[in-house]
Amino acid sequence: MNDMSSTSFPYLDAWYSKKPTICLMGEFSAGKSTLLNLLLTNSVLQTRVTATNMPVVWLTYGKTPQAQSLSRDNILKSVDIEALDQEGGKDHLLIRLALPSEILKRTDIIDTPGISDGRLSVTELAFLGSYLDAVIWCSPANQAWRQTEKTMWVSLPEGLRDNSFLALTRTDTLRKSSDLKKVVRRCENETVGLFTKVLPISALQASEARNAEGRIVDPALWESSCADGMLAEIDRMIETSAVSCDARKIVELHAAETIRESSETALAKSTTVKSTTAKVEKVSNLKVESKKTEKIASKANEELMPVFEAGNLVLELKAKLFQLGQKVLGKDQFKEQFNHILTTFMADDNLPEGQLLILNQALLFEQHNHTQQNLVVAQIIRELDDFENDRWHTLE
Amino acid sequence: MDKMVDTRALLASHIQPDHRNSKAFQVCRTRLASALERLERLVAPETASRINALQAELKQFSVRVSLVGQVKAGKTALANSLIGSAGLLPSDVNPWTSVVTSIHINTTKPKGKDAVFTFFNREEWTDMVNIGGHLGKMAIRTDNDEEIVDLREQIKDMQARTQSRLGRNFNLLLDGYHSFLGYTPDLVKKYVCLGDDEAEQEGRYADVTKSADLYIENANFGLPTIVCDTPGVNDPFLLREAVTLDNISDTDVCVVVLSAHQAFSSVDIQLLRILLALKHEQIVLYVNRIDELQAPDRQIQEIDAYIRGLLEEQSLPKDLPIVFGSAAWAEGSVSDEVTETFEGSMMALHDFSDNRKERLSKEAAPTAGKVAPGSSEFTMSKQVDLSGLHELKSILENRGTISVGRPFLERVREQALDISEQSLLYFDELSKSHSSVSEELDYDKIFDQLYEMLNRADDACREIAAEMSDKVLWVMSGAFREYMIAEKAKLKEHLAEKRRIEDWQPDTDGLRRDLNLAHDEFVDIAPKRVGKVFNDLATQIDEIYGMVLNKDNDLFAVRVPQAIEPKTPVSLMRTMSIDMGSGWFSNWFNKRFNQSTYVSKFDELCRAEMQQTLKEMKDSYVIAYDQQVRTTLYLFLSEHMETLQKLCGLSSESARAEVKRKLGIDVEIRERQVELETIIADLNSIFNRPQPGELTGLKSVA
Repeated sequence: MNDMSSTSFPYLDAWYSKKPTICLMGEFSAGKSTLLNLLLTNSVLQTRVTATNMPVVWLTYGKTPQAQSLSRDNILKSVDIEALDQEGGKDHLLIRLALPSEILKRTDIIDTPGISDGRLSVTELAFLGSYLDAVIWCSPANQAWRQTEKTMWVSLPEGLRDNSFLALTRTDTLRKSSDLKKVVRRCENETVGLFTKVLPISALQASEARNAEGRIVDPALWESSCADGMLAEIDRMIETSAVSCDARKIVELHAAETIRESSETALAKSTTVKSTTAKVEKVSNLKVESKKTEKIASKANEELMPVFEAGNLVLELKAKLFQLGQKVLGKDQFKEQFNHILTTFMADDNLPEGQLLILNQALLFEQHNHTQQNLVVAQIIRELDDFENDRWHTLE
Repeated sequence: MDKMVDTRALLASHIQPDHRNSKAFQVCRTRLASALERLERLVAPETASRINALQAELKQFSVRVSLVGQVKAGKTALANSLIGSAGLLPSDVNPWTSVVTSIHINTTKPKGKDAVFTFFNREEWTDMVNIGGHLGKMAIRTDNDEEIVDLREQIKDMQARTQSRLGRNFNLLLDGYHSFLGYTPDLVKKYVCLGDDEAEQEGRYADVTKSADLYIENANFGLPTIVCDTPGVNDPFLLREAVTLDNISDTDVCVVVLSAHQAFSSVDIQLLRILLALKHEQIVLYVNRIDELQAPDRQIQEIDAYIRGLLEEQSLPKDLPIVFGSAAWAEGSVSDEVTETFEGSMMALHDFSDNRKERLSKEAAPTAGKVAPGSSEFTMSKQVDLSGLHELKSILENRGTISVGRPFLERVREQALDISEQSLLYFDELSKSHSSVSEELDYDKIFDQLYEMLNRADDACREIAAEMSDKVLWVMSGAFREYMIAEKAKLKEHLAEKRRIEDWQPDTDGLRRDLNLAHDEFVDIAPKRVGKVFNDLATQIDEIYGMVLNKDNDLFAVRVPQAIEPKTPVSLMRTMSIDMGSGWFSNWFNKRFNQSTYVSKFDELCRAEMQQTLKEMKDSYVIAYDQQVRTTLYLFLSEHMETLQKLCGLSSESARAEVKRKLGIDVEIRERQVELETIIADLNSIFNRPQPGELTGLKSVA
């Protein structure tokens, strides 16, 4: 049983809001750590054949190396990097590691413990799903892309598929020259629509081809490691992620402490957007953009019951109005029933105030020319549709 | 070239090939065979058919070894090495094996056939393409849309491929087979490998082939053995996995092939659990691909400790033999030519050997005394046979002899003794000057009595099966109900706390344990109760012999037939769709049902699961067991009826004279008696007389 809920990670919310995050995933000992060490150009994480003891590691830039651990009940404290290496960190939810690596200036990187480790349940990584911009899915070339990997990957948010690639690692273990091409082709066939690309890499060869400072000393080996292609793709990945990251609202820790509070932020936001039209605008320390707003809105939609119920109420209202539109009624009769429906709707306690304002504007009966009853109803239903499709925007 | 010689030395067997057990087995088998042959000439013609059946059984004996594991674990390369012919079975860098391939080594083979490729029958094929077999049913039940779509796609591709390879009338092949006298790797490729767009002929018949059987002779095998190479599990091509799971239920020894750089993942553990639940006690782990490790000598130690730790943690048998090796090296060592693959891995082999030598030179010499192959000490101290091939072979041979061969021989011997003793009784009776068969007995009444005994025993067995089935089904449905109540409560609580459905995972371990316990009880108790019925029956028949022969029957005790153990349904492990990890409810994520819908969906799923499991249990396994028991019963009783009938036929002087005339003069009958006595003595001493090869290893497991 997993007793972590999705809404109890204010730290992750805060970290995620500030930088793009790229995540390394795959089964255990699929070469994730070796690849990571290549990206960081210095070895920090242990690599072992048996499943390692480390939890999720969230890497970010810092001038001096520093590690913190986040416990399952949300307590962040400093830990000794050396000690982590020794004891492992399975008791923590994740480790946050600050390192002075060039690449970390541009993106955060999340390293995950391998799925299918005999000791790890698949759902233990599910909490990460909403904090990722892109994934590098590592699969060893000599045993690539198995059913368990596919199951895990398709259970992660679908949006990730447009900015993630499948890395076929350990290509140095393939002994026949023709093998690599064959594996790549099969994986491409089997992962149509799931990844942007399938890219081979021998992180081992690439590391060996470079010296301690990261300069290439063995060009032939570097070439055969296919590292150039992969690094270029990762660059592209970071750029794409940066765009969506720019669109994110910066979440400060105190503001995100509870569900209620974050829900209110989201609601307040919607009114802000409404009054300012959907253009980039900086309000105090909020960066706002329509795309971003949508993201938060849809997130709020999943998390916040009041908002969700408002959606249901609108549906009900639509149904009632539709029925009314079907009836043949006298003008006064129509008006009376119409007003009754609206008043009942507006009086519902479950309707959040922010939305009430917007809806009220749209539904004011006096605004409409109601000589043609059917058209009035149709018009309002159309507006309600708009409201539903994009709940957080003004009704034009 | 020198390097090559060194390499071969590193891969050579370290232990003197230890065929002691298998030799002892062969000696026993030969003695049994000769006893049966002598017996055949002695007994009354009516009994000869029973002996012929036993002879055939003895001749056809073989140990079935299955190689199972995840896709690309290296099962095929290992199979090639085991049978000693590199490259016979095709392998590739992509999942390639699509058919269960059985290599029959030193077994009897069908006349004029070295290779037989059997195609699916029409029913199986239709079943597969319509709903994707078992998998399809399961996917539909869990409304796992994604999987259904995947399956449909795969089946569509498969049909299209088959049509393009074999033409529109490919279904004419169904129900049939192709057989060949002599074969080449290229021929095998057409039937057993998936093939791809590049190679036209490879895999031409693969999609319609159900099984492949190849027959070879190999002097290195002490026992007739069948090595089965299977398609891997955890293959995104879902249909193949089903083929493998269907196959493993009738195998004697299972080799679970793991991959060193990802040894013992959750899929491997699941596979091991399935094997154990199927009552496979003969399991060997082979950790393949050590040639790909960076520092094999050190890492092997880590992996060994990791696997053994995990076995213990998961309450799995922790003293399973684990062999570390490299199928690439093994295949290279059995081949005369040096392939690209082998050459590429040679450096790793020498490095590994050097490291190990260095470490061992620093360590204290391993403690004297015999270290068992497959143990950690053995693994870490050996300096040759680095591919693990010979270690694996010797484990397989020993397991095959001790746990398969010996019980088999015992069974045959029991039956041979039974025949001999009944025959001896008959001849004894015949050779007496005066019949001891009392003339006053009403024989019809005896036979009525026998029939009645048979009916009673039959009823008793049927009742046992019914009672046990009621009980096991009751306990199982109870387990399901409890599970559903508990999990529904947990699910409600989970959702009430507004947590995401993704984070919820039903705890099926307990349910599975309970179901297995219920079944174990069936397995434990049913044979005991049936055994008692058989026992009572034997005593009653004993009494009848005494009555017929007018004295206590001290010539022989009626041998009680073995009460068979019920089989464990594969479904008990496998149809656990509620146990599919994230798979089954991941497709609920997007649908965003409300709370009560989730709960009722879960309820629905569990109910379907329960009905399916209970139905299968009842329809297939309980009924099959019942039939098996009753067949044994009928055979047992009809044999004794035959003997008794013959004995009764000797009651009148005229009848005796007639029989004697048929069988020969008195002298000859006396000779037969003497001969039968020696045969009985021989049969009794088969296992205990010390053989030159010594039989110490052949401890009975019965």
